[in-house]
Amino acid sequence: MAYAMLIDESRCMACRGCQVACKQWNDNPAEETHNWGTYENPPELSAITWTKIKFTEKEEGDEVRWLFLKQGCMHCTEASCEAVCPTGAIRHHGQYVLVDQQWCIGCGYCVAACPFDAIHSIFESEEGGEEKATARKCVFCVDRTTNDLPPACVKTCPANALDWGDRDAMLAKGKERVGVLKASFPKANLYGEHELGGLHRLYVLTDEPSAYGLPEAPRHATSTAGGQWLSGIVTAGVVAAVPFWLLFKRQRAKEASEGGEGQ
Amino acid sequence: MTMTWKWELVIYLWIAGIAGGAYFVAFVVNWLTGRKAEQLPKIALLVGVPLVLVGSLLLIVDLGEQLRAWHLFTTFKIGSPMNMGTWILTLFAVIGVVMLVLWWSKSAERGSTKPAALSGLAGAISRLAGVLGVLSWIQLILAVLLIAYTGVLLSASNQPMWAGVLLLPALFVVSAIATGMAMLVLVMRTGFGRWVDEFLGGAGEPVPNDIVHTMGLASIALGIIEIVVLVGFLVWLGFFSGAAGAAAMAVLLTGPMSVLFWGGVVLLGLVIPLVLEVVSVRGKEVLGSVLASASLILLGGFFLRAVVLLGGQIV
Repeated sequence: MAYAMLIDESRCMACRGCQVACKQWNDNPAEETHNWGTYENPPELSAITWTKIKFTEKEEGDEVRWLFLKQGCMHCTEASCEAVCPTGAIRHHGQYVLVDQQWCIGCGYCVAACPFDAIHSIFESEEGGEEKATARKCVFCVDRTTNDLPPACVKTCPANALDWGDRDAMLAKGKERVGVLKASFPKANLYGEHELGGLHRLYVLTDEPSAYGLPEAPRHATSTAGGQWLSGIVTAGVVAAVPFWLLFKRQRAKEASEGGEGQ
Repeated sequence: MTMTWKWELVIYLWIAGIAGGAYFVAFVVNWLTGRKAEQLPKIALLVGVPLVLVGSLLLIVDLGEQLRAWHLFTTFKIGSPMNMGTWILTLFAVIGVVMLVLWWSKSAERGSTKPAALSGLAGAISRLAGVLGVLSWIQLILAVLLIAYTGVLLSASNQPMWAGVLLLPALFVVSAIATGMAMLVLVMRTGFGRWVDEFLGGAGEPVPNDIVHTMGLASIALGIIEIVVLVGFLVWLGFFSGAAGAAAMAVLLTGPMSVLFWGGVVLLGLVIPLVLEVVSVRGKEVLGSVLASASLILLGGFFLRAVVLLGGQIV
């Protein structure tokens, strides 16, 4: 049975209890932050912040709508991080996409490849300054969820915005909720059913995904790699022909004609 | 995203490009001239192999867990450009060393003064020198893969300046070939080329003047091609990659990377060397201006890697 997390953003009130529960269960230290003009904090996911609520203000006429998005690893079926990982440290285990912390070399390629900016290898160390280490991200509380407990964030959510269970059941529940929301939010939709082969974080949204800062069509990092290899190799071939082959052909022709005149 | 790849990677991308590009140019010129420029592949590898080794060291320094670098060699994963790069770099370095040793062993035949033991060793190795022809072709393929992969590495990601931008590998390839050629010119024109040739079993003859002259013309053409590809890359970003791509273009043209881009990449790296080269081709050639333009092309290659690698992470 594949599990999934259902995140009902219409119920989220941005208390950020999930952020704290995540840090506590996973033993991640706090980040030193400063006021940057919003309740949203810390500003970005990091190697020690695996989930956070992203705040977006959307103006609609005279009204401003406040949209909340619980960010974190989507555990994509077609995971870019897994595809680019040069050592095979990132792999699927059922629906979990996990980084083998004993095998990861901390190259940072997955960080550049993730379409959701959900995996990181640099963090502020407690001694001060930045430290680069192995790649870290949400693990769906694998130590809890393989023992029939919900992830820490789901357990703590006081608004009933989070749920954890069989992916098909979560999909059905999410679609039902979207149906209800359509009455007051015509753009309500369910995100994650088909993206990248199916995400294991499903979102009930009241507006289009881009309004929340989600990519409308997330792209797999290596989806065009064949073309990129070809682009580089063909360019080398073209450069060998123009200018090199052409110029040296001209030089040979010149030499031949000069040689002819000399005879 | 956070700045995960920094100066180590900038320098690596730059010098790996020089190493691969130099061998590519050296092989192509030597082949097209009917092996009248045997000195060039020797220069390319004598400088290129150490560059690749230094680059690999920088790659390891950049890792979060340096002592686990060997994990890279436990897999062969065609889908991961970084894993492919590991194997390409390794093979390029190994074959490069083998070729250098084989060339060096030939110098024993020339009876240059050497301790007897070393001379005997060289004589023994030189029997294998017949494989040099095959190796030089394999090394050409590896050089092409090496200069192509650095662009593929970045494009196989989800950062707006790199993701799926097909002209990025093309841009890096052209820049690698231009900087590789500049390195060859610098070594050749400062007189080190003849020393390299003698040390590696050649007669120490300089590369014929007409070949040097044609390489100068090729360098001008490369500069123009690089400008065209660079403009194509920017147009691709600005007009065909959505809002994120336009933001990436702005980072280069008007944003935090603009000074390095206009001053370093465009002016110092492309425009000034082109002007110097055109002047020296049309009028009397001044050695100083040839050396200056080659140095500037090398510098421009560095700035190009810097703005693309660092700028790509602040979009």
